[in-house]
Order: sequence, then C-alpha cells, then structure tokens
Amino acid sequence: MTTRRRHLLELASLEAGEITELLDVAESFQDITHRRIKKVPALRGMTVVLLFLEASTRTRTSFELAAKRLSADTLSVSGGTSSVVKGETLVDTARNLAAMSPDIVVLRHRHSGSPHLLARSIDASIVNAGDGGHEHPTQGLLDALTIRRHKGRIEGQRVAIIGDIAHSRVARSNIAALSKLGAEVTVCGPPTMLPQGVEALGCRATSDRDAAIRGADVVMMLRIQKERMTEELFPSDREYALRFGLDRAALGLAKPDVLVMHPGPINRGVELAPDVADGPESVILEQVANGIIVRMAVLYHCAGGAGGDA
Amino acid sequence: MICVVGGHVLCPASGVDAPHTVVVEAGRIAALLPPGAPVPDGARQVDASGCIVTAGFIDLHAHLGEPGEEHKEDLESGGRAGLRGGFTTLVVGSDTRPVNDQRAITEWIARRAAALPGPRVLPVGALTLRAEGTRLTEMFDLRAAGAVALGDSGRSVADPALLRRAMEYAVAVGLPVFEAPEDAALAGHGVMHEGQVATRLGLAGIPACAEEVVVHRDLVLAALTGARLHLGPISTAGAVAAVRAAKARGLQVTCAVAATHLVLTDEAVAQAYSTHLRARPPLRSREHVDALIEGVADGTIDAIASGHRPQSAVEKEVEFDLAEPGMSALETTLGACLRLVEAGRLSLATVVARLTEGPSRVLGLPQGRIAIGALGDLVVFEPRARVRVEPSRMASRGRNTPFAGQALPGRVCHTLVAGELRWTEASAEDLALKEEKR
Repeated sequence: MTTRRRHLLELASLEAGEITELLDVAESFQDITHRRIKKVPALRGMTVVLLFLEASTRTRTSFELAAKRLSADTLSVSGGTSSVVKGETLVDTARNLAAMSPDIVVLRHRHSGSPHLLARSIDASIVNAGDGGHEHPTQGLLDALTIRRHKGRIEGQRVAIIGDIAHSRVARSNIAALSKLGAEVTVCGPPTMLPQGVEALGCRATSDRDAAIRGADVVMMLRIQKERMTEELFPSDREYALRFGLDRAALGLAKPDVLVMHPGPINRGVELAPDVADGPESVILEQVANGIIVRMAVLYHCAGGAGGDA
Repeated sequence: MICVVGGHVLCPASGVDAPHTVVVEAGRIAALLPPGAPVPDGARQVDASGCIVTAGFIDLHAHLGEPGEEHKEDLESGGRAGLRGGFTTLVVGSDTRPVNDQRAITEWIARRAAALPGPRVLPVGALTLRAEGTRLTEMFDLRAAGAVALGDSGRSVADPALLRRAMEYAVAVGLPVFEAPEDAALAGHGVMHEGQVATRLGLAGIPACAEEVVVHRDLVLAALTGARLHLGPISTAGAVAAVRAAKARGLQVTCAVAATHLVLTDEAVAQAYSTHLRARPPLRSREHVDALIEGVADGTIDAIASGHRPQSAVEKEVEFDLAEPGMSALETTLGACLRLVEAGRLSLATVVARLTEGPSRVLGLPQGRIAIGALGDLVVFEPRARVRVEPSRMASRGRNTPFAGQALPGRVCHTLVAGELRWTEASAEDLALKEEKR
C-alpha cells in the first residue's frame, strides 16, 4: 500500500557516508540564509506536518523555518491542541493527518520508538524530532556540522559529552554520528546517569569529569533535568555543579582551542558556569543557526533530494 | 473407545519410549498394545503414524482473560488455542477482572470451563485480596472451590511480612504459593530488559536484579515457613542459580519458564520497537537465555509454560512504553521448544518432561503420564513438520505473536482430553475446505 519513503528515524542505522552527505547538503544551503530573500522552491507544493506532542520551542521553530525556506506548506500540531489530549492514540492521530496527504511528518514525542511506529502506520516520510530517550537525529547532525565547520574535520576529534547520558536522546544521536565519522567520544556523568552497556554505542565512559575533559577538542554539556533529582540520580544541584559541571578551571584541562557546546536550554550555574556559557569557546548560538540548514537538508533529503525516488 | 495407532509413545514419567498403540476407554488409558496389534472391535482409530504420542501438555502459566477481559481472550477461545497447542490442562492466573480472590469467582471459572469442550482448566486463587498485597484471601474456601495454587498472578507480594504470613497459612491449606518474582520498585518504569539493547533504544530497563532480589527473599521465607514455593515465570540467570542451590539444600521449591523466553532475546525488540516483544518478565539477554536453557536441561526448571497472555490491538498498536506486556503463546509453545530440540540445545524427552510430568509434580496432579489407568489426556504431534504462524488463523483471540510469518517446527495433529478427541488437525482442514466452498 505504501510507496517507499525516505525517513530519518535515527542516526544509529545510517552509514558514515549518508551522514556526510546530509552535512554537505546542509552546507550548500548556507548561502540562502545570507540572502535578502531566504527562500528556494525545492519543496514547493509539498506539505510538512510538524507533529509536536511534547513541548518544544526551539526545535519546532527551527523545523518550521527550515520548511518555509524550502517553500513547503507547514501545518503545526502540538500536544495541547491535538486530539491526543482527548485520548486519541498516536496511530489514529497520524492516520487522520495522513488522510490529508502530507509529504513529511516531523514528530516530537516523549516515547522512544514512536517515529518507527508512525513509519509503519502511515504513508509519509517521517522525521524524528526527538523520541523519548532514544534519539534526536537532527541535533546530532547539527552538532556534527558545527564541529566540522570549526575544526575542518570530525575524524580524530576528541569529544567529551557530559551529563545525564542515560536519559539523553541528544547523547545517543551524537555518539552515533560522531563515532561513525571517526571522532573519539567519551561520555561522562555520575554512574546513576551512565546506562548499562553504553560503550557498545561507540564511546568510552567515565565518571571522572577531569579525565573526560583533559585534552578534549570539544566539550558538550547536556542539560540537567532537575526532575531527575526525585529519582535520586544525584543528591543536589550544588554537588552536581561541583563534580560534573563545567567551570573555567575544568575547561582549562581541554585543548586551548576547545569548543563548548550545549543543546539548550541551559541551566546556568548547574551544568554550565555563566562565564563559560558566554565565553569565547562557546558555540551554543551557532548550533542554533546550524540547526536550520541541517533541517533543510533533512527535509530536502526526505522529499526526494537530488535524483531521489520519493 | 479410541485407539491411537502407529505413533511413537514418549513418556519420561513412566519410562516409555517405543512404538505402541494406545487404547483409551472411559476417560482413561486402558492399554498399551504392541505396534501392529489388532485394534479392538468398535474402537475409533486415530492415526498417529510418523508422530510422537505423549501425555497432554500442562501449562502452569496461562491467562485467559475471563472474566473481565473478554476482548483479549475468553475460556472458550483460549481453550481452543490450548488444544491446538497440545495442552490438555491449563492453570489459569488469578489476575482476572475482578481478581479471582474468592470462592464464587473460582467456582464460576471452574464451572464455565467444565461446560466447554476444551482442556481441563485449573484456577489459581489470589493470595491477597484484589491482589493488592495488603490482606489475605480465604484460602481454604478457594481450595474448596477448586483452586490448585495461591498467588497474585503476574506479580509478587511486595510486603515481606505479609508474604510470610501468607506462606505460613498456605501450608495449612496445603496449596503451593505461586510468585511471579519482580520487585516493583527496582522494575520502576522499565519496559524491557535493562542492558545494551535498552540503552541503544532509549527504553527504560527492568534490571535482572528486580527478579533476583525477590527470588532470594522468597526462598528465605519458604525455608522459614515450610511453604511449597513456585516461582514463575522466571527469566534470569540469577533466579536459576538461586533455585538450583535451594533445591540442593532440600527446599520445596519449583520454578517455570515461558517457552518464548528460551528462544528470543532482548535483541528482538530492536526490530523497530515491535510491541509484540513486550513481555513480562521481559525478554532477557543471551547469557540469561543460556542459563534458562541449562536450567531446563538439568531439571532446575521444572516446567516450561506458555506464559500465554494475549492482548488486543488496542493494547499493542501504541508506543512501546504504553503497550501492555504479553503475547499469545499457547499455539507456539511446542514449536518454540522444538526449535531448541532441532538446535541440539535440549532433548525431545526433556522438553516433553517439562511440558508434562514436571508441571504435574509442581501441583501434585494425576495427569502428565502415559500408563495404564492414567487419565486419557494425550497429544499426538509430528515433530518435523513445519507450520507457518499466521496470526489471522490462530484460535486465540490475541493475534500478537513474535513468530508471525515464521515457520515453527511441530504440528499438533490430535489432542485428547479425558479420552475424548477434542482437536484434530484433519477437522481443521475440513473446516477450511468447507469455508472455501462457501
């Protein structure tokens, strides 16, 4: 019944070459953002549904802008306004949307694997905009792009990812993308936040922050969710900041040209000291800018891309 | 009178492993005749050539949904699924709606099942009221109504002091205590085995220790109280090791595993988050599965159960986190076991023992053996035949199986309960033909 569709469900199942291609396409969209008229007709006449069942401002607006710059029509459905709050299942919501023949559905949902469920339930390209604790592929791509633009290459870069690895979809997508492209990734957090067998994802793991940062080319800090404190994953903000936060002293262990990254939103004073967040090493706002061109590349790819089959 | 002719009789309990004609009369096995012996006049012949004939299978862990969850399964559909899978006795969990925690419900289940032409149905009575783990049930009453064991099916009693009292009381009642070992706090919001695969998929894990902690606690309490403890279904290497050691110490403990847990690992979940793979206990990793198979082989694990817990599409066509655990397994249990036989992991005799005499001993039942005077519960199956699992053609109302589309070994040709032929493959073919003609 369904025609073959191109999806972006996760980075873990992509080849290095496919990731590089997406990054290259993103680069090619860069000059559009500097034009006075920031629009190309690549997706003209196509419909992109932004199905955001979990609160998100930056990812949704970034996708929306990306779709609009490609001239697609966008339809935004969020958790609060959808029938999901009336007890409709995800599959039923999606089938109703599918009846309106969208070309691409961008899904953000709190349950891991929900984009996979959608991909086998409806006839549309599915783009994962973050599923539970699984993946956030466009974040992984935009982080890779940010690193590549600064360092020239990803291969051989030493990247430390610090925070709640166990519950982080950003961590999983980054580990997948960066390790496939040849970076040496080390994840770091208290043992309560390091999931079992994380090394099998393609990284080293440690609970020693300083060891993780020493000699790093990139330090990526993850947002610490304070609600995790009720699960007793860590005793207090204060102790977390002291042992696992990034302050100037800890950053001094990294290479002099280190990049500081964060997927946002930041908890100032918890995982990031304010002077580090605003310091010269920080590329946090560039990450946001790169998010738009990466998402343009992903939508373009799913819509068929150059010589695509969709 | 029915004569099962031409088959190879395999009964580990009575040590029979040879071709025989089995004569069943008045609900019991009347004779074992040498192959080729003349069939008595007036006897109905059941052809078992090329087949294995064993005592009917006994399932210690089936959930048939009735009363209360008839959209998933009822005693009739579940019973038919049982017969097709070669089961002649189904021990059904107390986790019905309402919970089977009082005499009237137990009697209702027993009476309704007895009126159906299915397998024998033996109810488990709850150990605590509404399975809430706070107050004891009227256990003597439950036994009088037909309960064969006491347990809050699908869960374990959280409060160790209450479990101690329940075990003490159950000793006087004379029934075994069934515990499905899982510590709710350690299991947390977990939806699959905690380990590498859960980490990759970003799904919350249920650690093996959630099961092992309860197994150890229960063994200590069983030793203290003298209760007959049955743990099941179990899923971890730690549980197998603990039960093995407890048996060596002479404790009255038994355990069971679901056949699915012997053939599938948590890797299966990685196939696009299929909710058919969400089970309770969860499918574990390779090292646990290997330990379970070893436990079955050396007798630490007394019984292989189906763990049959069918769900409807409403419970399964959702996000993995939100799906109800459980699968429809009665019709695939033999096939799963035979896969292990074909792979050389278990002998056919061991598999048959764990499906017949093993579960029989757990409950002290008369069935589970082929001998003169024994109950006329028999199954005839062709071990090398291949059967494609097609959910739409299953007898169970639950169409959720991890084996959909796969060819499993073993075809159940005939199932006899109390000397009556209640299922035959030929009749199914006839039915299918009739339907096609229509």
